[in-house]
Amino acid sequence: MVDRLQLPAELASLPKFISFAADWAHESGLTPRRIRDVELVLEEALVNVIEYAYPRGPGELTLEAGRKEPQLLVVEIRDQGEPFNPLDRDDPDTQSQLMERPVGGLGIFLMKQLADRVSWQRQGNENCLTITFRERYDR
Amino acid sequence: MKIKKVQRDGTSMTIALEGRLDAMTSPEFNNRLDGWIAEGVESFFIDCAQLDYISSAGLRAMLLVAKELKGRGGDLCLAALQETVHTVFTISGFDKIIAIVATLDDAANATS
Repeated sequence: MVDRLQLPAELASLPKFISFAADWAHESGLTPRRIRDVELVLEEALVNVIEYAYPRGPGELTLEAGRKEPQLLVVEIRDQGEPFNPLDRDDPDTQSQLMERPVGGLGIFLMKQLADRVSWQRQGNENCLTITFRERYDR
Repeated sequence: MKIKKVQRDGTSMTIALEGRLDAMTSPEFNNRLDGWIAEGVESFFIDCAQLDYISSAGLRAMLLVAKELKGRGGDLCLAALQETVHTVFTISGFDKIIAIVATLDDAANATS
């Protein structure tokens, strides 16, 4: 079973996308703590698309969620924007001191740390980011 | 997100954050704190007991404030982080660059 939500690629759409994913995470039997991770990863992935996919004007974002087995959530984020693989971005230096610390680059890093698997594909005119979550915490 | 002003003592201010510090709410956080910094506040103690969620946008907002205060000889100190929020600080290494204490009382003791 797959469910889909399509909305404009803008910050105002974030809460709806995030609660859609959180509902699916809940349905999949993930713990509240893991659902919090899902919300965070979704925010980071979606903000990235909102900021970079459509430099020349408005566009749409599609979020698909589905479940293949208990305690597993797979979501897919699609846009028709510029080809952009967020996984190409270098990880930030998490050891640098306050004044040297660049402001940014953390979102993708958090996404990679908190999801179990993230993969990117260009399919036709679409960016497709697939993110997998398994349970990590005790009930 | 709610920002509550708890106490102001000269150039130090204690505030309490509630709700979510994320891509939607971070600009307001920076606006409010920048306003107080412009009024002469040099150090902030932030009670995070009711802060339920922080994303990279929230971390970025905290980093901007910490850098601004340090440039003015002041400090940023966070107290009473929830476990999930603390984890985000740890993963990103922000626990090494921003002071985090268990309680607001510890914050007062650490800087007095």
